[in-house]
Amino acid sequence: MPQTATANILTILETDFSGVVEEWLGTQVKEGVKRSDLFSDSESRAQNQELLKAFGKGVRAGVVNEEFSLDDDAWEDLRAVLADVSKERVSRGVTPTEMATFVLALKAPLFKRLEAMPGVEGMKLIRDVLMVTRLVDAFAIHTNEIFIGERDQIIERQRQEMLELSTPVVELWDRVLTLPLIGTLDSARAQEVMENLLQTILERQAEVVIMDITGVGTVDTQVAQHLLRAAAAVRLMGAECIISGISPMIAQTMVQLGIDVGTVSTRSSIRTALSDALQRVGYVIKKNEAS
Amino acid sequence: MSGVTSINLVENALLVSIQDDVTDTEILDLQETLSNRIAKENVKGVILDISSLEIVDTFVGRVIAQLAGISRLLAAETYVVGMRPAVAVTLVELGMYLPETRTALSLTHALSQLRRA
Amino acid sequence: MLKERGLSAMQVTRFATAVSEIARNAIVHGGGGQISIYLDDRNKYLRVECRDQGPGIEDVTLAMTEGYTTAGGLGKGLGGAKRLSHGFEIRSAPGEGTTVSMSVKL
Repeated sequence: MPQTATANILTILETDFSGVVEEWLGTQVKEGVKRSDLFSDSESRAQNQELLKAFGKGVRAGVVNEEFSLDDDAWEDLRAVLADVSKERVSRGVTPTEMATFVLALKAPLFKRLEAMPGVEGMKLIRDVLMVTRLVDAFAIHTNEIFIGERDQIIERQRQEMLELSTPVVELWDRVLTLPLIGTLDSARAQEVMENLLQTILERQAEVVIMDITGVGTVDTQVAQHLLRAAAAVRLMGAECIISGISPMIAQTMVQLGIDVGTVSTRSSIRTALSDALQRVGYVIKKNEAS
Repeated sequence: MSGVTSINLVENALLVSIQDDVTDTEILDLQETLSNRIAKENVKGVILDISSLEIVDTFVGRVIAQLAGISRLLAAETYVVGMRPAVAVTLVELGMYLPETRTALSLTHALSQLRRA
Repeated sequence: MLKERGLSAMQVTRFATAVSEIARNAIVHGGGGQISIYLDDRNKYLRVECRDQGPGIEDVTLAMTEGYTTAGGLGKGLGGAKRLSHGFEIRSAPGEGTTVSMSVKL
């Protein structure tokens, strides 16, 4: 076998596999990225062994003429193990930096062994060190990508859940709907809320809609714009819209921002809005005198 | 006037059903036909049923607004009824709020509002 | 076709209105033109390109401005069409016609 950098790296992995694993673990401890609070020693060791094995397999089959791409089939094992390990680590709260440093810590034990290899010195050593660096860096970058992908999935799932949770349209009474808005109202959510509301108006043939903003923290020009557009769409469909829950504080802000609500009805509390809404559909709330 | 758009007298209002495949020419002709009938039949209201329309762009929106303007000059209120949710959202996005027209969920709703007026 | 690809009625109406707006412009200002539809399955979007050989637009930014009109319209069409599509691009020069490209995510 010619003494290429890849061949040298393979020789190290074959002759001193457990030594590399132990030292890799050791470097992780030294760099403070071995999370003994999250993983037991045996768990960490097992993960390192699996990763190194898959890495070795990739180096053996996936490096041709000292060139490689982690997207090739030869690296499938490494990608699979990485996906598992990353998933596990994300769910336990490991940071991306810790994850990258964890992989990069593999360089030290490999460098040390190349240095000690007979016949590897001078330019050859530089060449081999460069190869290890390229391989491990690609390994670390891929790890980061998986890691971020994993996080994105969690974020997307949570965003969807939040969106669904936070836009309930409630039928308060015959032909009266209410939409209690909570939290912030960005463009995406405003769109979702509006679509949901208009669809419900159609299904229930609702005549009055109360949009309650008691739970909306701040009303800036953007949020006010979204509310007024929703109100305009409600009117176009032929229903009336009342915006309730306008606190004195919000009323002041709105005037200072120069927001004109036009012909949209506004009320300070959902209580007055409800009594108005019922009146419009022909009901009156009355106290029972007998009780 | 072709058959795609019908005008019928219901109580004291003219009910106009605009069909999905209405052409630009037909919708422009409607302005003339309708204004003549409002004057002749002395109605109190015009009800535009657009529930079959999947698309209302600024041209159609503008014609509707003009119809409302003409009717008002002839002492009749215009009600737009049956607008689909997607059309309402799109019109708002286009900045067309149709402030000069009245709106109602359905023909029944528009008629009861006209009776009260 | 768009509905088959999982687009909601809302999205279909929005995009169809944008296309209608632009096609109408091509007829009114450009004396008619061609519409091409491209489906990009890989990147999951549909693109509609509307091209006319009309006089072109001198100042595209001005034409996009809300309320600006040369044909007695409302001046809401171009800006509105942009808001109704996910991607919007307009290329035009005096004497060279106008090409508007709109896309919607699938």
